[in-house]
Amino acid sequence: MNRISLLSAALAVLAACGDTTTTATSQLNLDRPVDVAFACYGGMRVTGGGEADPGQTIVVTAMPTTGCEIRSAPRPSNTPTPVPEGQEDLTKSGGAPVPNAFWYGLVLQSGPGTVALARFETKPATSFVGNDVQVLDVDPLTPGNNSISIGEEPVAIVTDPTGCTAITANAGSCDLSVLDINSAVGTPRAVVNRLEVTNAAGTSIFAKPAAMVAQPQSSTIGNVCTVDDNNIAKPSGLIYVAYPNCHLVAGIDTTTGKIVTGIQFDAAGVATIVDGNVTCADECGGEPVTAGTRPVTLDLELDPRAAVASRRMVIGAANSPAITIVELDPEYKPASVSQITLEHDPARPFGVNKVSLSPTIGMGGSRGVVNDDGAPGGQSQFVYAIASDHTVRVADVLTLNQECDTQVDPRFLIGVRSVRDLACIPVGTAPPRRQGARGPGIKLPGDAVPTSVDIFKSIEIANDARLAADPNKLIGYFAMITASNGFTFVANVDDDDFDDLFKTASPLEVPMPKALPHQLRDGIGGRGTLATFSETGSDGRVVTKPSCLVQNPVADNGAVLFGPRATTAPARLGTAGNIADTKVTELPSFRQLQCVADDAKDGRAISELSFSAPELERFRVFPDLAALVSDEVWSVTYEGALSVDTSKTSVDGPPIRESQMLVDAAGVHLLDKSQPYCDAGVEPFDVVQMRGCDPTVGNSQCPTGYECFVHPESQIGGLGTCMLKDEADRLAVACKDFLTSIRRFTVQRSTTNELTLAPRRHELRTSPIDGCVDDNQCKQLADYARTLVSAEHPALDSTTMPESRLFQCVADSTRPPVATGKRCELRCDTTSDCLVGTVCQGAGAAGTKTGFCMEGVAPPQACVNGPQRYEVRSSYAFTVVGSRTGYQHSVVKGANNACVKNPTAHHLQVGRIPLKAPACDPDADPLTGFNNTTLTFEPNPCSTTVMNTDVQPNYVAGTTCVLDTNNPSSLVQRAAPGIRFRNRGMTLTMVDPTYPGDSKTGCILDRGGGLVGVPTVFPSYQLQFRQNAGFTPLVVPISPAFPVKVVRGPTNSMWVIDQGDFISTSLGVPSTRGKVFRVEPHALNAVNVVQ
Amino acid sequence: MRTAFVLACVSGLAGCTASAEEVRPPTDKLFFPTGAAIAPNDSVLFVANANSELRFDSGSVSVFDVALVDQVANDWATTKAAPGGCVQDRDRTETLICPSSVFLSSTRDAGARIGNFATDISVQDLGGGNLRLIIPTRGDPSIAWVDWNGTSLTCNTATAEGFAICDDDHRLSFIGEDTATQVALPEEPFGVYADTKGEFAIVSHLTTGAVTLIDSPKQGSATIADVVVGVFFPDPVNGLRGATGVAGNAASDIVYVGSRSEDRIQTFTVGRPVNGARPYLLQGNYFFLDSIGGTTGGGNDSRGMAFSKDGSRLYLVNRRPPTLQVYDTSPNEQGFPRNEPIGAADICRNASTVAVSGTGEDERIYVSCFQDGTIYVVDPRGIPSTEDIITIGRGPYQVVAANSGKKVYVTNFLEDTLAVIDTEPGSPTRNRVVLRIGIPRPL
Repeated sequence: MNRISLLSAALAVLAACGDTTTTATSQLNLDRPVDVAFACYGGMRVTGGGEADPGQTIVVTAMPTTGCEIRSAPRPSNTPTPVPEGQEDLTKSGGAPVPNAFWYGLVLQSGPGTVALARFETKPATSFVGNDVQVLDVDPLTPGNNSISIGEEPVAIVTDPTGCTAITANAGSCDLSVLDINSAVGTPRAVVNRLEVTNAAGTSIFAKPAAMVAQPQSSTIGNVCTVDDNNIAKPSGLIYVAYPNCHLVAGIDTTTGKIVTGIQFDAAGVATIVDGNVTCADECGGEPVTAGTRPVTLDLELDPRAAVASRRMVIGAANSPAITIVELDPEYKPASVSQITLEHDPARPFGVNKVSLSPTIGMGGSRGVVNDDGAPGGQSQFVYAIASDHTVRVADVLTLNQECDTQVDPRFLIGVRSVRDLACIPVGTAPPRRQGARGPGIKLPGDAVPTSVDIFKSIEIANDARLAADPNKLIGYFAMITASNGFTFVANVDDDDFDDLFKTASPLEVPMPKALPHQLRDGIGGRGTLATFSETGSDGRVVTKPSCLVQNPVADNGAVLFGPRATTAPARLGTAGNIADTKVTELPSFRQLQCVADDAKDGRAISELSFSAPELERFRVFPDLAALVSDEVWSVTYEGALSVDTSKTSVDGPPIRESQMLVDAAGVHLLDKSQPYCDAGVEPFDVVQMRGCDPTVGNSQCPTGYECFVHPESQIGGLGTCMLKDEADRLAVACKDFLTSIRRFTVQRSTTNELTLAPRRHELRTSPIDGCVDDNQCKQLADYARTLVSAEHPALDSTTMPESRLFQCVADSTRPPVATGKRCELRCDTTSDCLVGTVCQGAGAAGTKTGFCMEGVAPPQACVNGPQRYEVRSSYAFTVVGSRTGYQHSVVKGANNACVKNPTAHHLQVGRIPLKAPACDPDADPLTGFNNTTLTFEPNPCSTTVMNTDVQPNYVAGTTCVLDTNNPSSLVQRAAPGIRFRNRGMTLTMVDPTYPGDSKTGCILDRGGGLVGVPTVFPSYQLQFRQNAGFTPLVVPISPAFPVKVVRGPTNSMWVIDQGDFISTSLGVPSTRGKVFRVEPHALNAVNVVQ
Repeated sequence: MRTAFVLACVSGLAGCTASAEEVRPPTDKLFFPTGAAIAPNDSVLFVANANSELRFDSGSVSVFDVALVDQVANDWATTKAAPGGCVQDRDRTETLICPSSVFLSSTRDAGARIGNFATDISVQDLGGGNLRLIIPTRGDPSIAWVDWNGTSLTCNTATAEGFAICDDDHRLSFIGEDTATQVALPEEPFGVYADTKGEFAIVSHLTTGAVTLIDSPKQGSATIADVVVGVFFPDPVNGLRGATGVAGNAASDIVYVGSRSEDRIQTFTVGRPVNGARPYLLQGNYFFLDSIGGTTGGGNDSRGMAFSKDGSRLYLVNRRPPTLQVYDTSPNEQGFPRNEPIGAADICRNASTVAVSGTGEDERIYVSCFQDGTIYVVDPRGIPSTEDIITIGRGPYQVVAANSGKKVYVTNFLEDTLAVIDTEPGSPTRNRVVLRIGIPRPL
């Protein structure tokens, strides 16, 4: 090794073991924040809760947060700051002035075990626009912004009812810490005292806490803090601490640290109220813990309204499906306990990681004001729980005491006329769920994993110029859900600014996913907007009129507007060389409608997917907004690939897979140890297209020691095969048939790790879908097939010669059964009788044409010892694949690892459109496909007849197919055969799966051929469209790296705690350890970043 | 005279150069320890000494008798008894510090000498108490394979001498047997996973993004069988490629490989041709890591990876954002790994390796934090969370969990020590360093 390489290696090893990433200078203000609590500190007249008197003492002190909340109340500008009762300005009466009070955020940091202080003014939420919250330095003598040391691995922070102390629960030391807020805010040296937790007998409890809640703060302002002999504030009130490994939620009197009550979970997860006589393992002393229910999350809510006065606490356990609801008495001690068991798969572990309890909410209302009293849906209180299945579960804990199903297919809810009934649709009684729902909970888009949730109230603000139903206009109750991918989503709990019920007369106006509670909030407004254009009339007035031309409305800034649609008419792709351009409309396509409007007075054929389609049609095609991703490209490909992953996406597997091939007496086998085949949705008779290797990239697709060998007689471009370098030439002869064929096989059997393949005969493209009857029919259809690539009208086509090859009507067990049992297939004596890429096998005596032209042959094993690249494609069907949704199927692993269709699969879990399908049920609901009499769904896909709008060419009368240049085409309504296909978000109708052919003496598109059930489609023919304006969840405009908690703060603000480090790659953007975001619900873009 | 003078000068220069004995690596000391691995039956622990200062003529592999190590650690934890030469750590009284010779003197001839800058060790069980170590070494670059016969390591067929340097056959540097067509191994071999059942090992390459397959039949020699390049896209900012962590799922035949340049995990299986030709790598499905840190540029720069004992969870160390990510790798109803994210825990910056200790409720994840000198202990249950942060020493790199679930061993690269963490559930010193092997090198 020379010197340079030694140096390189030394540097390299240092890089390997250390930091290989260049990072910018860090701001270290916040280090792994995990929680935040709020305090109010400022001037206070000591009234003892009584009336104000000018002679009373004025102090500067911590006080209940009500003192700041009142000062922060909404008010018109230039009006005095409201103050709590007893804190009025009495200077005119000779009293001393009462200094203002400020809010303090107490940010708990688990890494260093400290509390950071952040300060902000007592002003209305509408005055927060950014840079309103400042991190304070509690030790000016030490460089940097310093925090208060509080304890080891603190996990939660609360303030006591007086607002004078903050209490932290410390997992590292299994105790509590009490921070004197007066000392923290008003003096240079914060005082922190440890508070040991004991049971009723006085025995210390050293269990590790996981969560903590406190009884709410007092609403009385005017009492000084209670202090000890050292003038240090003493805590008061009751807190509840979850001790997972003690299976206990302990109610602790903070004045003593003694457990006075609690909720104990037994081995079965049943919760009971206990007194302070509890014991726990000394976890911090290393005592072993026992297995059992592990409570890890708490929330507590007080509804002070006299009519519904209630105090509740909810408990979630990491390893139990039960949500525990504890009714609390006026002293916040447990009065009763009940449980709601969430739906779960008993075969898989299930638990709850975070809970949030809503206030008591008056459900319903759409007038733009929060109406908790007298709401049409009555009163409800909900628990939102982040479950281990990565959904947010919802349960009604006020009246129903049941879990709510948030994933009901809204197609089944449009007839519900009761807001009450929609407030919580109980699990078990609900109509069918959306396909793809992961249980009854709210599922976040993509792979986002919810990390925290809290519910907040957002009130109307004065002079709000935003339009009704503006997604950013939050009025009512909402849940904010943080996710592992950094996004913070908003869910509607009770949107008081949007309609509650479906409108039959205008079905797009109130999409059910926007009207229903417990749905992720949609971020696009105007969903009910119809296609229009503006025209200035002769009187100068601008008139809005319906349009046939609007396809993809966007805002000036490019933002997508309004409802879901295809951005353009579906494109027909892959037609070149397979059908003449003049005949592509003879291929299957999606239904077209006739549109007549002032911008298309002669009418226009538009796709049923078009934005300009009639409102009812748009609703029928896109019946569930929430089931559509915001933007994706749909490819509907005849005999298309089942997998669509790209270099940027991983949805359902790579389109080209790589496996091993084994050839034995039982046939040809593809073997893959990763067991991907059932997951890919492979079905019998599917097509395996071997891809070999691409010689244009050298040997890079082959293993070391192999070369990409192309047989010299192969006429298939770009199709080599990986063979050992020292074997390729030797095997060229033995492998010739395999290497010169197009290498297409039929799947006979599929298991998780093996596809058994059959060599595939070449079938006539126009072989009838019900099978052929005789050789003569095959001959005629073969001749017809040749005409498809001719651009000439049949009456004028003198160049297309009859098919000279021999297609015969024969049985083929390697293809799906057909009614006649036979298909038109190409026979041969030698390969010269076959098409390019097919080879003749099984031939007898010359001239007998007893052989078959094969698209793939069983190769000698020696030919396929190298890795095999291949594609799996559907057969005799279109595959429906979304670029983000992937290919949907119902194939599962069955007995002996066989891939079988799941008989209980969701009726919308379908990804193929065959050319022939069972008949649709005329009595089924056209929207849902459900027959209310038979209580079954109609087949999906199913055959039907629909009115389709064709663009029919006009020929000059008396001529042979001479186009009328003055009026080249007309719109014609035609009853067309169609296949109705439903998936989770769309209902499509493919028309003309087969084509009758044109009259031999007629013109293109005259449909006079008289053929029945004859397809013109060919493999890889694709209908493609881009669907956009699908569901676009509203996300809070913040970018945390790894948000772990969301906390309801003062004046309905929401605080998102970002624990993750942000590592900047830009010199202009500093890296940070952690951040806290304050978000104003009334204006989501008003964000304060604490860092 | 001129000639004589020159000869004198030459001999003088020779005298100034250290002798072979002087640059022979010590048998009883750790020097820049990096990779480590434990035998499946927890009998011995192998530690690679990277020789990063190049003070010696080679790196080496030290062999620790785990029973002896555990005995000393347990005696200290329970009775404060300690072998001669060991002292209590003055700052952390629960820790005993022992010179490495206390443990290596009995195995000094059991080790082997390898190339410089070893990065990792993976153990293949050959059966009958025999093991094979696969050791990427970046200095050559090469991949060493060293067999353990129950008492000593051997990687040199020409000598029976203990602590011998590996011969060329045991230092795999080229692909192919034909010297005329041989191709050099890609640079910077980094991570390694050895598959006992499949009789292969897979090595990642840090700066090229290549992935190398080692064919390692139980009854034969290890050879380089295949190299796949261009597996990962380069980092869009700095243009670098890199394959990093590699881990095999015991519940399947799938090997997962991560990258420092792309937020993607690529899976591989190994194909063995029926004609007995060399095996090759087969690329399978892949998945992206954008479910964590998506708003801050995506979750790239993956490092260590490890599976739970039952293969149902993949634990993955990511540097951007610094997280331990947890993926559900249990089979779905189609029998294919779900590969779904189920959570993450914020951890230190620039974490390196990860190990899984214990099972079920006792399962904990140990992550080494090179820069901070700490080990993060993550409780993966529910929402994964950091349960403990252990001050471990300077430059912790490889974390190795005993299969018993009672100990975790950590190599401290910058101080030439091996730290032993008590991980036994219920132990008073759980998640504390109870033994430090080696006297920390002065700063």
